[in-house]
Amino acid sequence: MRKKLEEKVVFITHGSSFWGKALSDLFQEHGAKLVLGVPPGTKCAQTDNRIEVPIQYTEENSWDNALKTASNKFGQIDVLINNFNHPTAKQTLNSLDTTFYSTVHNYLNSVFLGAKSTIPHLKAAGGGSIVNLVSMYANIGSPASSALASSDGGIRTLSKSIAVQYAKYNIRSNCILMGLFATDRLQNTDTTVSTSQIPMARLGNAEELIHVVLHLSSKDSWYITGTEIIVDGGFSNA
Amino acid sequence: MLDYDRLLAHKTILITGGSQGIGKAIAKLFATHGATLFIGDIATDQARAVEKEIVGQGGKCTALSLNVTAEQEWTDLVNKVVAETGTIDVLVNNAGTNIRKPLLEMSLTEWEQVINVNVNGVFLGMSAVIPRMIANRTGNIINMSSVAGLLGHLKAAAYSSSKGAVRSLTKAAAVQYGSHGIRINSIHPGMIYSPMTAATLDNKEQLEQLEKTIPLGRVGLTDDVAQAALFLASDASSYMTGSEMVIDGGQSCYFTFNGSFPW
Repeated sequence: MRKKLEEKVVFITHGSSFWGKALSDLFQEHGAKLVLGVPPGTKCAQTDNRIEVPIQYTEENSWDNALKTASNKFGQIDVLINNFNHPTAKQTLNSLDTTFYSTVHNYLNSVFLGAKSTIPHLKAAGGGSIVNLVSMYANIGSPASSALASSDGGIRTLSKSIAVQYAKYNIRSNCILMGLFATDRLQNTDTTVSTSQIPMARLGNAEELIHVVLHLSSKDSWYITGTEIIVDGGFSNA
Repeated sequence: MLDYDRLLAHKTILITGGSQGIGKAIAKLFATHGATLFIGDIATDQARAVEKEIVGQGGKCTALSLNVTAEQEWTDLVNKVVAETGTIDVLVNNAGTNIRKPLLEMSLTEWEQVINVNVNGVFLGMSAVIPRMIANRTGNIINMSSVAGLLGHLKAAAYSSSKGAVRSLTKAAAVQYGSHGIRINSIHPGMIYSPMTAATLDNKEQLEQLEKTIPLGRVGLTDDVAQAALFLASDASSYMTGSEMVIDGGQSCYFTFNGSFPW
């Protein structure tokens, strides 16, 4: 089978999370070399095609160090996946309202710092792709969390700014806006999510997101930048 | 696991306007992924040439005559496709037209001509295939809109309006038929080198002026759009409906100063 990321080095944040694991498995099948961000203090595993790097996403130094490690190991960085690591259970979304500043700080700043530290590496590689995973509340008002809507809306326009500013180096930046997916967390913490509001009448499964990320990471989307792809079973249009 | 070499194996796919440009690129790419293709086009001779080319390379393709604004022709064509293959899995509403004029210079006749092909054609196409897709409990429709359907077009009022209508018609239909397992999405190409844009892009001065407004610094290729169509037609996008794919090198993601790229 044709491999879509042969010889490409992909940095995935929150590499040991549900989405991190799903993405790294698929990307590995497609020939990518992987750099997976893991929490500081984690014992880091290493193989020929895959390393883990400890990283504190809101610290610029930490980003720079992680990328230096990655670049020393694989010689270049071609793709950055700012992975989705937001709480998905409704209860958690509500509690986010009391921590507005820290939510925006954690989510929006980490994408800013990630792009800032990674772009020089992408530039050196002759171009690359940044894919930012956010919730569909980047586009619409959220009934549960204004903090999440703010951070994700901010990431959406930050991504467009990155696209327009660094396109001249052949660097692309896009967002994926996610609806409701059956993840480990959603299944564990909230089984009452109603699917009746979703036009496709069901939650998405992991396979249905990771192939979209693969598309935006690969050369098959080389004329796509500064835009977003909504993957929500029609939810945000209903 | 998805087989990225044969993403459309066993799928019956109808593409309108497949005789040239973006539609032809889609047909050729889909054929290499194992689709059983039907091209419906008003330019029947050109469509037959594409059929010959695809079949010559081992693909499955049949060219048929279709005026997308004629309801009866749609009914006959869909019946023919279903009679031959037993089903219809994917419809690509790609056929489109353009009359490049600002609002005040456009006659009602010209306006109606653009709306008729670009909007009514998509409406009739969806109306013709959705009942069959409901019966199948699965289906996939891809509607060709444009970046001009997202933003105002400086030189083409009717085209911009028609493509905006395609965008929201897509979303309305997606919401209405999602529960039947039918996915409906739109594609929004920016400046793509094709017969429709050749008059502009073959002019070196105009091309250079245009490239200054595109962040990636180049005009797109029909293949770039075909790759997006392949992605939407395949199971790689199986949780996407009512969604849009913008393929414009970043042209619509920023505000232009004096119509040119600001740096």
